[in-house]
Amino acid sequence: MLFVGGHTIIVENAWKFILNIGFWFENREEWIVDKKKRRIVRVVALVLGVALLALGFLRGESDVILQKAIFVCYECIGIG
Amino acid sequence: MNAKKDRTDRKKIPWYIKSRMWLQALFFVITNGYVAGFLNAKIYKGELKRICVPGLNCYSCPGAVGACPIGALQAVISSAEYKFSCYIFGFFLVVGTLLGRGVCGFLCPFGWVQDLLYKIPLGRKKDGTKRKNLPGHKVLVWLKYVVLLVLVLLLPMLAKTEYGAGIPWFCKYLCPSGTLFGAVPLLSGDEFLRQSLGFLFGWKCFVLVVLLLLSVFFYRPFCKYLCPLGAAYGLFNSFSLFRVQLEKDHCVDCGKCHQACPMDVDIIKHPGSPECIRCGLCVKECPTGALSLGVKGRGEKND
Repeated sequence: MLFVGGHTIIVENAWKFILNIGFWFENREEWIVDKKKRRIVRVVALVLGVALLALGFLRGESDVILQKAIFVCYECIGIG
Repeated sequence: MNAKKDRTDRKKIPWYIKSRMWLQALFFVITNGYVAGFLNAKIYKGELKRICVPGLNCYSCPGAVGACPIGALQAVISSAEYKFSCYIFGFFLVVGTLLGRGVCGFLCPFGWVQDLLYKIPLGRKKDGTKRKNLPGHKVLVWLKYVVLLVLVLLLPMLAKTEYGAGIPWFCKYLCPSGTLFGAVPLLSGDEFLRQSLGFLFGWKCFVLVVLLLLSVFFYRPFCKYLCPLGAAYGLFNSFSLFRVQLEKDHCVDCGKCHQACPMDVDIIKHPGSPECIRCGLCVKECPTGALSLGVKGRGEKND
């Protein structure tokens, strides 16, 4: 019974944790309401994004994408 | 006079909101403009396919001139050489920061198909409106994050053969865009491919048909509940440049924006909601012009 009770407590706490994540996720825009913070986040995201794009090209990831994209993707069309 | 002009100006609907469906059609034509592919049931093999298009556009569509970002992401992380894709994550950061889920509202071909199907006058309620959500909507909206995490990221990255290669789990088992825009035109023109069909094709057709049927009765069920690309772009909605903006001074809290929103977003309470696809219907319905859609809000010098 103790084991079952312990298991129930873990499940309840896990569910509360998941609900809290959901609450934070739905309300996370509240912490970017400030225009200045929003601008800073945008600039950082854009700079990081461009840097990652360039790095991805340099690493040769676009070659992998090209090699996949120029042949029929049998998985995509349901042949496997 | 100035106050009257200001009120009139606020209620003007921008051209891109009025023409959204046409913009979606135009973008579909641009990103699937390889007409020879449709005629010969062959796919485009040019260098442009290194570049990802923003929407869920299967690269096995005969007309596709670019790569699907979700397909490309799985291709890179399921390869033997890479475990992480700088290119695709960089792509998400740039496109997400600029447009957020505006990609869903304006640039995604499968989103456009669902929009068209929803216009079919079936399944209306007694008041003449159509249902927006499936039962269990509040829980189901989280499913697309599970699809993104498990089918797009974890399984292609971790479930590899002894040679180090994985498979694109989302593309293989779920993606309806691949079935509709890739399989249907290719199989209709290639007998050899038709001879290779099996259970997997049956399953994918089943998924596609269910989603297309649901799209007639509920608004964009794939976008709301299953699309990993929408899930990814939604993460940027709270700070994307292209957004719905509210002038609180002019809001009379009538609730028409929430009623009009097909994604069931209360844009007044949650302006950065990850569910908002920037379709602009709330802007159209707002009686006071308190809402605007774009890069800058009305009356704002910068944002």
